[in-house]
Amino acid sequence: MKPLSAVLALVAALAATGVAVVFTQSQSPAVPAGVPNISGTFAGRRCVPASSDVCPEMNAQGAERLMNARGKAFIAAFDEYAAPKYDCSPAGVPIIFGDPWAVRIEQLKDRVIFTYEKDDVVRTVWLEGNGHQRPRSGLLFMHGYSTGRYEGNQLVVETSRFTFDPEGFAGDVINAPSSTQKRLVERYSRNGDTLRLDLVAEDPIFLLGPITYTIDYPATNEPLALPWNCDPASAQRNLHVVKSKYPQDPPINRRNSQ
Amino acid sequence: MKAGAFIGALVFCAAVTLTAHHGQAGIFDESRIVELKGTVKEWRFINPHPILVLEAPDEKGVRTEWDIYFGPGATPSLRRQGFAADTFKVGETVTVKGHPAKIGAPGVDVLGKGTGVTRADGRSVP
Repeated sequence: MKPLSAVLALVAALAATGVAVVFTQSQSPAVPAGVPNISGTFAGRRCVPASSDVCPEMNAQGAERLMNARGKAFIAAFDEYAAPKYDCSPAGVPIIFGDPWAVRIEQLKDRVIFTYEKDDVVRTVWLEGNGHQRPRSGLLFMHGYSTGRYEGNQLVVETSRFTFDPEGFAGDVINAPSSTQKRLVERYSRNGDTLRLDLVAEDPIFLLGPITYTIDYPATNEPLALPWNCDPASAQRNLHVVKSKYPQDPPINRRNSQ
Repeated sequence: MKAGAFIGALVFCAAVTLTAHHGQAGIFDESRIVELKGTVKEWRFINPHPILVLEAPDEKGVRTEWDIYFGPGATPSLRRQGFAADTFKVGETVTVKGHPAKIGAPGVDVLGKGTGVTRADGRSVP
């Protein structure tokens, strides 16, 4: 008897005896057989070790240590008032990995879907070997194009084809950019109720070398608080406490697209 | 056991707040705490960051509209701490202790030790 048939037979037998059969998040029936189970909802990220100059997000010391001359020059010139987030542009990756909000992971036969509470971001990881057509040349994406595969107990996600992001490695006054040459390798594994992400990020345009860090995410039974529904007027109100680097320029009257 | 779990939850909330990562240190002077007493003009419980708009005198006594932030908090995290869309009523008096904006703008960040919001009867919020 095949494993799935055996499970179904056991479930049917238990149901016939009146024993309640409850699937928990770690036993989600949607997870394909034979792959490591990383499905569930996770929140409250913890950097491993507890803090560094890149986790949960690159700070000023990290930018000084890791960005090349081109990256530092961009940071020096970039004005917070030009940051897309004030028009509710979503957080990119890897920044969103360090945000303190929840993420839900769903494993399907041919893809894995990451739904982030922050900014209503949804990433699809196309699993190799399922005949997916790659996007045509010239198509770049805010969150990149992601493919994945299982290796042992890990889901390995490789992402490239990013658009330029002025806050690609850090936002909020630091503003460390990432380029169309950014590449990420994410390795997800699970130990009990903890999901671990081991990340390697490369960007030869702006980084001196690869960035590596690790984040643990505890599982939660709380559903995602969706939708995020970013409000541009509220986002822009944050600029009341930020000084422009270019006060001599004409004032900005931002148009809200919503 | 229940009391222990409750205290544990409080400690967790504090830890989440203190390890939040956004650029509060770059925008607010975390070495200083100011105190404002005023009336609530607006409570925007909305993403990306809820803002309490408070009318209170500035240091020269001029009535000023202040934006009160709660660290990098958004509605999901603030809701988990006990905030809600009806936490503040327009016209109610509150006292805010928080870190002032570095550029001198009327903005205060409620984040970390020594900061907080209390109602007129002395109860802390949330």
